[in-house]
Amino acid sequence: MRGKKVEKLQEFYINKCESHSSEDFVLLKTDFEKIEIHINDNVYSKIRYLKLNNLVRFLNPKVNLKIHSVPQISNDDLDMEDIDSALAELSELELSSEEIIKDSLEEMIPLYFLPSHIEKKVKDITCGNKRRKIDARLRKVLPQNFINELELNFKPDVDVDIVEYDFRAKHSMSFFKFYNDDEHTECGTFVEIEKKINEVKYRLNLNYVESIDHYFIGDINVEVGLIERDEHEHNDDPLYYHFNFWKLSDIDLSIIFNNFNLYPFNKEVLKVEL
Amino acid sequence: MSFEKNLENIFGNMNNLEIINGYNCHVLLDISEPLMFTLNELNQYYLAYTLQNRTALLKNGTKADVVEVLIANTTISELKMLLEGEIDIKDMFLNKNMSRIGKIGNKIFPRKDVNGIEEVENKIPKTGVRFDRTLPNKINVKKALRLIESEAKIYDSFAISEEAKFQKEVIRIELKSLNKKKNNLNLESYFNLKTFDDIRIEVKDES
Repeated sequence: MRGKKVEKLQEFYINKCESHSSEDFVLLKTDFEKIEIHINDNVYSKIRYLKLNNLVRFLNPKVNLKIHSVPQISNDDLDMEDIDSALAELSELELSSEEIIKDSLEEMIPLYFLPSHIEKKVKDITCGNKRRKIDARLRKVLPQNFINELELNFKPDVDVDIVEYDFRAKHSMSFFKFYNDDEHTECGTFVEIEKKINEVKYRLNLNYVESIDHYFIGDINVEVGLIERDEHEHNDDPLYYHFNFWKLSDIDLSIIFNNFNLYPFNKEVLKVEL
Repeated sequence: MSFEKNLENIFGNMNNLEIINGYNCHVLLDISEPLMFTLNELNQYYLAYTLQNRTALLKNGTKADVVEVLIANTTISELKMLLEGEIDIKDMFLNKNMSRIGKIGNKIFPRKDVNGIEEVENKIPKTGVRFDRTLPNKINVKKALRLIESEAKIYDSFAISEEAKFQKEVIRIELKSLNKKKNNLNLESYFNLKTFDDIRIEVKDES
């Protein structure tokens, strides 16, 4: 079994990656750069995968361009000086964000599956006020109507960067995988995974922090890139690991997100003891 | 830069770690977004916890970005205990002078005192949650602690501590009495000074 996995990885390095000046490395070409992969790394070569099931990807609503384009409440509507009175008034007017997340899913889903460093650049636009000198690579990520609407101005195109091996994690897409008591029995159903995620949310009382409100669960079951687990667990109880994923540039992103389903976080869990 | 101004800048950049790290601020807890950070005005340290960071969509077709942060006084030794996992996160806010500051849309609301932990209990981690292996966190807390401690040493070397203030007072009193004596022409006795004649006598004796 183990030998077969090694063989598959070797095939992947040879057939899907580009050669490197050093024999120990290959270059994996993603949509944004070329990543150096040390093929004989003692630690990581053992925890690399081409396919994995039950991966969790958290949805960051801050990259939702639909929400971004809704106008911000005017200061005139916030004439009270006390924050609690203002919040009380807001709660009267507030709609559930779930609907807009669901309604805009089809259009926004490519933005929910971006490598961390590109996602951050999108957030600089949606949360910060960056409009000028934007990384030219974002042209292929952002819809044209959004670019026009905000009159975004891009930097000139540059050659494809080579990302040094030690910096590869910052240029990957993040996934998580939950396990039961030990790492040999993974959580394989939505109910099991949901329970673990709720546990984290419940313990931390994250009622009003939205970045783990929604998440996708799915499989990468075709060879579309390289998945690498972190050496150590991300968290012990509940047990879960973080994985970096680098998608090959010639694979359409939809092949990946079509295998993932969106799940809501169940807010009711915060009201009862687990 | 004033403390309030610093906070405003942090508010505007809650989702950008690199920017907020630039405002004399160390992020301690990050679970897909920064949840807890330290701030300081020289050697006075504050611990800040994100109570809210969300966008509320409203029935009138607008939205309101809401950020609300809890701020409590703290010390380097408490931060060390917190980051080494010796105390609960919640305990950092027990019996403390605390305040909340928030921003809705583009408006920053005045700081408001928090009269007890009950007021914020449903928005901070539950009892038992501390910096251990059960707390998911993107931050390398050991590194954060090292940075905070080394910065604190620099502030300490500049700051006038309570002990130094006391010593300064003693020196001031002594100088005062010295001046008094000087006025009474008792300089010689105060400093036990010898006159040239005394020295001449001593030299004579030795020879």
